[in-house]
Amino acid sequence: MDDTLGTFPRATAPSDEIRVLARGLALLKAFCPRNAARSNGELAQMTALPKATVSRLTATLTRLGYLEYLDESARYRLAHAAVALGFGALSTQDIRVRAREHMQRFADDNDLVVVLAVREGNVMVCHEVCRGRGALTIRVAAGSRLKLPRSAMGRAWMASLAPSRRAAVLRELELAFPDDPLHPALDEAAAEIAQSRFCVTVGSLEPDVNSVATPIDAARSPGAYVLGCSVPAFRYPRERCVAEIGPLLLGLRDRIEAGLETAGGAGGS
Amino acid sequence: MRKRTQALDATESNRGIDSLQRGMEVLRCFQPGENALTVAEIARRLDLPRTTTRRLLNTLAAHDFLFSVPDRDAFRLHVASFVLGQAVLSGSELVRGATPVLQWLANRHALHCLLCVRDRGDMLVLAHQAGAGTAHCPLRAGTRLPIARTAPGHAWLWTQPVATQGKWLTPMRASANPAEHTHAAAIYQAFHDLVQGGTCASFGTWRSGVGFIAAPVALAGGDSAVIAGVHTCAAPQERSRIEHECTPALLQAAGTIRREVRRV
Repeated sequence: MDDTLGTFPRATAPSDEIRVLARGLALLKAFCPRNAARSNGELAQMTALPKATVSRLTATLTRLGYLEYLDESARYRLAHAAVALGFGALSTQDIRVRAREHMQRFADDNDLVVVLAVREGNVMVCHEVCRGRGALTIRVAAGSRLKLPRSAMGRAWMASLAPSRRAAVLRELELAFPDDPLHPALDEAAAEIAQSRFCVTVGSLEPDVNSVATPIDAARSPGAYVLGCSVPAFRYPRERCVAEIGPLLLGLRDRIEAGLETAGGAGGS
Repeated sequence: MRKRTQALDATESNRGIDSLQRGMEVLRCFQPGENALTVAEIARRLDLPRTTTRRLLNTLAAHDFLFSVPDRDAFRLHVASFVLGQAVLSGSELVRGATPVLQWLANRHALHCLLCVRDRGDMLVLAHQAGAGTAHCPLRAGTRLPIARTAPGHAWLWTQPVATQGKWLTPMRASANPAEHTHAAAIYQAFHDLVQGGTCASFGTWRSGVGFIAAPVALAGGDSAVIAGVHTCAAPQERSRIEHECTPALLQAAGTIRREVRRV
């Protein structure tokens, strides 16, 4: 994954946060999205934690079986046991499992990349990525993190918020992305969502790639999923995205939502 | 004074390790099919005070490993748990090497096929491939199968030193619970079958109507994984036929995975 697309946000700590656990979790997340091997020094830099703290945490997580130490490179990476930290329970019931089949068919039929993502801090985390056979466009994979204000999905997610919540998130984004002109882009996306239920971005994440996004309306969905797709700009300029891709994406969204209704809610409650 | 400071530091450090471990245990206590768990239920499962549990949950939620269910005193798993698991699986040479082989095996015998590694008292499924036309199967990556009661667990135990086998089998034989004796007998039978033919089988001991046929895969460094075929055939004769027919392909698949992973 390109570093230009990824960030490692720090969540706002609750007043009763357990510091050692919070630091351990931040450390585990530093191995995402592809479990690259990392040294204590690299982890300290990525998590902004003191190196001595990182050393203690990596030693503890290794002893607990969630990290493994690679002798030859003197680095750590996530061990297989980290799959037991909720992944199995989640994967049997989640929206992704139900959406995947629809998404892959959509990607194949239209030869594009379609993504299901959730907001996490200041980024949109890609939970499911399906691509058509010839789809080149943006290089994302499950676990990739897209800067929220630059991604169509992030803008669509912002547009789905109540005004007070939207204002609060906007304040966080202004601090995190001081150089990004947030207002016109986010306001335009909100207007597009209000009018047509999807929004379009032109080259906002990578040049030559246009994106379309729409929020998924699943009453019991955890954390509000957003559906987005990316297409090559030379084939799909903004007008074609609005006229063709947007309505197709809404059709996909309707099929996924219908599946969730049948199954009794996004999480199978 | 110095001693006292050291003792305090050690206590503080242990407390920290406990908190980290407890946080991990919270994530592990969600079972497949469980959507949200209440704070009270999580506290009960982990045998922790409710206030401690709530602090763990709030910390996990702040980092997006859990999601606080609105209007309920409950939490459910969230995006970071998924992303973490996905990172392990997408970065695993073992999973990458085994997946096409499992798919071949699954298609050849119209089975669901699994790759498992040991995780405490369970075999943790790392990869699952479904053969063309097979019915739905509740197993997938992240599912845990008890070592004592399933063929994948028996196959793993067979690869272990005698001392490790003893740690599992001695308490089972000494138990007052007759079910434990039955499990121990099944493990001995599995060891016999593995010596004779390289595979072992179990049926209905994990879930009613679900059977496994398993073979160990020796990995570099003395570690072992297990691959398994899953079927839902209850008739004993038909079951024997499936197990008999699958054995050569299962052993071939185990050999291929061993070579593929070592090459990496």
